[in-house]
Amino acid sequence: MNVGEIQSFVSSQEEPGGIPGINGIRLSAILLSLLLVFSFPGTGGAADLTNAAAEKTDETAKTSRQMEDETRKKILQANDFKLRGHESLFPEQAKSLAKGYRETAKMIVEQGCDPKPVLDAAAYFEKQSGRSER
Amino acid sequence: MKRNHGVKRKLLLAAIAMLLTIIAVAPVHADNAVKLRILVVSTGEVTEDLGLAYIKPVLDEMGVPYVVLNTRVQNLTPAFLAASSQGTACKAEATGCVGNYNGVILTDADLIPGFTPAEWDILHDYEKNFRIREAVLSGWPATYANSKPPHEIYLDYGLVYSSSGRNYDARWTIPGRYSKEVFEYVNRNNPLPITSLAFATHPRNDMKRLRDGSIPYVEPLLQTGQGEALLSIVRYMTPDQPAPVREVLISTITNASFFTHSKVLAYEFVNWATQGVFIGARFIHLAAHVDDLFLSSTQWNPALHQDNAADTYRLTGADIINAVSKQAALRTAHPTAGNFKLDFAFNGAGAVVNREAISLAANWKDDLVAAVTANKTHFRFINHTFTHASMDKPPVPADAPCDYTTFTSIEAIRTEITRNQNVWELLDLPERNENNRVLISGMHSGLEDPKCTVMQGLHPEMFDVQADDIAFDADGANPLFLQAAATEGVEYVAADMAQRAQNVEQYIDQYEDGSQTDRLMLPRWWTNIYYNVTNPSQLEDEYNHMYYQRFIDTGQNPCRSREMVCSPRSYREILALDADTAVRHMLSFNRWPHFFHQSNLARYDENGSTLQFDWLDAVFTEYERLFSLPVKNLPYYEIGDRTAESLNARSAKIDAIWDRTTNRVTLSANKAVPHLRVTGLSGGEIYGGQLIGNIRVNTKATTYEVDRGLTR
Repeated sequence: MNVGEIQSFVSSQEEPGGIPGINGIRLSAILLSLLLVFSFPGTGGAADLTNAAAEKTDETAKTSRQMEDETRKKILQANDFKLRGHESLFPEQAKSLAKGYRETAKMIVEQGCDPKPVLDAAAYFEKQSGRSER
Repeated sequence: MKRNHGVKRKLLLAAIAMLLTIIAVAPVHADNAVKLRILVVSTGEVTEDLGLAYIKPVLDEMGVPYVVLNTRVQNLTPAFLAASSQGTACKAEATGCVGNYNGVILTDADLIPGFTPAEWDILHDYEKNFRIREAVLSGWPATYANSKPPHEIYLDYGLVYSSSGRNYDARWTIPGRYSKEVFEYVNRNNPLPITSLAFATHPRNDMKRLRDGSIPYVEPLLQTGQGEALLSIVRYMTPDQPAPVREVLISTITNASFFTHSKVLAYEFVNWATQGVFIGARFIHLAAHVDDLFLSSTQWNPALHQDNAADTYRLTGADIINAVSKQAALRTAHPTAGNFKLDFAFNGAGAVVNREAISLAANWKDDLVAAVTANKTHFRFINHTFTHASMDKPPVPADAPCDYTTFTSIEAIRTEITRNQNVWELLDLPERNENNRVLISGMHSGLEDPKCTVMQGLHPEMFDVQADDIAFDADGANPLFLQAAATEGVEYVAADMAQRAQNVEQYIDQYEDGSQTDRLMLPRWWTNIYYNVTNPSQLEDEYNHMYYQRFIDTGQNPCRSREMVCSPRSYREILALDADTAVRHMLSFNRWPHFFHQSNLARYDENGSTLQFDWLDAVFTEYERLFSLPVKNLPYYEIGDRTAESLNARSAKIDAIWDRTTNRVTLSANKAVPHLRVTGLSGGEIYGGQLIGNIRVNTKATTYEVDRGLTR
């Protein structure tokens, strides 16, 4: 899969909560490559050049793996999104979950702790309960 | 000396007394027993509780008995967990007391607002008394104390909140001591992508005590890149005991049946809770059916963006030889694939000299027929009817226009089945007798009524030719087809899971087929590798036409529906999405095959690539990123047999008691169950490091030794 294909794929998926930054990864790869090219010492000899080349290969492979992981996650999210749409009970379940987290938040306050993460979760599932289409 | 004798006598008496004590106590210990059944504690019904909706199909598919306690409407009492024959609450040490559950699953970590502190105490007491484990599917990592002095802690998972997110690449960090006990089936070398809301936590391990005196000691099994725990084992320790008094597996990840990570985790919630001893089992299956062998298929024309009846493709002998080589390469590349074989659903009319002849003769001059028979041991075969004729109901009135020809007699349909069996014999294909029990009708016809409209191109006035179909459960199946199948001894009939009421393994008992027994419907998964494509550019064009362009062309916005795509996708993207979908199917533990068509096995480049093996390679690659379990690749008749066995077992009432002292399980049922799968008993098949028995059970109780497979 080339970068163009990945970009096209990412732009086609609009599920909130997705991962931005494929372009960022591509930019990082270019900058990293440039950095490696210009950091070669002029008098290091063949061994240094070999090491640098190996490092460059490692970095390129790492970047490629990261891109692959990100693409894969986009695929997972696209299928999650589609399959969630097949779950006719999900809006009601998400609503119940949101309600449950609001109750949990009350308990957390009673316990003298910060309820924000749970209230955020409640807000998230509340939003999900009303989202049946894109 | 006398004195010495006296000492000896005392010692002897003491030994005898001790022995008598052990013997006397033995019956009490013998009652240290639990039923093999899970208690699922929920926050509501399936309609309300995402966690219950997630774990219920897992338990059902595995055949695990369970009881749901809905905390919204039910209270937990000690007698609900363990009761004497008089119905009063009892303890493990009491004679005749058997715990009702050998594992507890909570769908939510704090069960608020339905569960009271007193109910938590009852549950924890049962877990401690009967040494029962608990698994928590999701939720807030609570630490709650009573609001009134002395503010004792009644619920504490030993975790402290760190962050929230919906995008983690979680790493497996399973401690060595648990390596043979939990998540033995996952590929621990790869991160597990988490795509749902999760609370990331840190273990406190701060010696804070619960009111029962126990201290939670946390060991994370799955962590974020920042080392935060997402899934942990909590062991509740007391100073006076080296072993934990209670053990909990807690996930703070939201789990639902539509998340891949949830499918990866699901088995361990059951396995952990039951300590690996339970009625039921799970296997991972994958089968690929290549339909229409010996026929030709019309081809999609990317320039015209439609199917072109003038352009057809039929496999060649070279394609078959290529398939043998690609199949071998697939097995080599993927250790979990084992001895994977393609299944050819064939139509013998394409393999004979004259399909109209009364006495059929194989067409040995056909290089496809020659190559298939020469390589027959590399593949499996299934009866797909002689000509791929429609088995659907005839039109009413009989002369009404119809896209397909229909049969009006049982005899004609029987001939479609038996003539293909003749070809099976002529070509001497393997396993004919076993396969006489299985049938895949052309286009899964006969199970619903398409009302004579199946070809989109012939009906430009219809946006979707399936819109007027009469479903299987609405009297749409053709009784003539079912009668013919029954007469020919067909036991298993293939169904298309995408069609209404065909996505369930079920006996077809609502139609009279003239037989004492009912046919069993075996659903198959569809894929996005269409019947009319041989290469990536055709597939790409058809996919994008179906899911994108045709909406644009008719002035609709494809982004308005989840089923469509907002922009065209490449072949690689389509393949990756389909592979992820197929892996989700595999991780649901059902046995349903995926179906393809003969065109998909065409070699499309100089490397011998085919759409079929591109798909299989993508699926196994994705699967092996997550799992290490061997994939079962069963013949269709065996899928039928196993499905029938599962349905029979599920319809029985199984009684199973695990005597913890003797470490044996006693099994019986209210009827004969010839094949009951049980995990954790000695003598079964080893799968994923555990023993899975295939046991014959009936009304007479039989006892089996427990073997949790922890040393394997």
